[in-house]
Amino acid sequence: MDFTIDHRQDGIVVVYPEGRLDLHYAAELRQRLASLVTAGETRVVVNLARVITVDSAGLGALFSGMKAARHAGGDLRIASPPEQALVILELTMLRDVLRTYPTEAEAIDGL
Amino acid sequence: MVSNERALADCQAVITATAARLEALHALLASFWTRASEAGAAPADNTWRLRFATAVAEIGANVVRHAYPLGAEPRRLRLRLRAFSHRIEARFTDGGEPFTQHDRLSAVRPDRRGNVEAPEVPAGAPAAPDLDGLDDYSLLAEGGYGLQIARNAVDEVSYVRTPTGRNVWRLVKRF
Repeated sequence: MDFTIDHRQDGIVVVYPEGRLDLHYAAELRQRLASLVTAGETRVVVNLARVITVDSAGLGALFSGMKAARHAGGDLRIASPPEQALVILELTMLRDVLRTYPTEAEAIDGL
Repeated sequence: MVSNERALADCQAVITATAARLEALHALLASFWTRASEAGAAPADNTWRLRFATAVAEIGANVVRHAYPLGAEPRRLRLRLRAFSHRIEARFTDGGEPFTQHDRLSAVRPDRRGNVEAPEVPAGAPAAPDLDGLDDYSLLAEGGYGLQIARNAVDEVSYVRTPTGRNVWRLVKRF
């Protein structure tokens, strides 16, 4: 999967995955997010503006990243989710699992 | 279970799910929505359609994951999408390994025709009740989490293992 990663001046990292965040790319995303947190980048925004669909494996990778970031004293937020990502999150019927924000700016604010 | 009702839209494809993405599954969904819209079948509401599409993608991924363990190439599955007057259906057929992750499947006995049918997965349950207790979320997809998501998205999710060695998954969403 193609990723762009922006290391911002304020210490927040924004990750831009592209395409379908599904069983074929979930492991790679999970590893990327784990590496960032291990390297001390604990405030992470995953911007899904270039993502078409997310499946349960993709969600699992995002949950893993969020848990790792929070354990390290930071957090992981989702920005610009496509409508299908909101649909699948709602279908998990898990409350307050992943925080999503309509824009990157809103996700960054307060992180 | 076989319907004599005439479908208003009917699309199918044999998909070879290799290490590449399940793009053919998503392409078939796109064709299906176009056909369904042309026939005036299925709600036009995007959220409604995305729920069905999410369920189809979850079951498709499940088939790839369970029916064809790593190294078994090619992984072929047939997907058929049909729209009827008051429901849409997806049917996955494959000739791979039986699905055994459904924790109630082992308790189900074959019927007199030799079909092994899993009881219906109930809707409205959280996909992963013990989320905080998990260390490796990549395991969630293995544990029926995707199956619960699919079930929450549509009205019926059923699985049958036929005596001829086929897996058949059926999804139904009514309107």
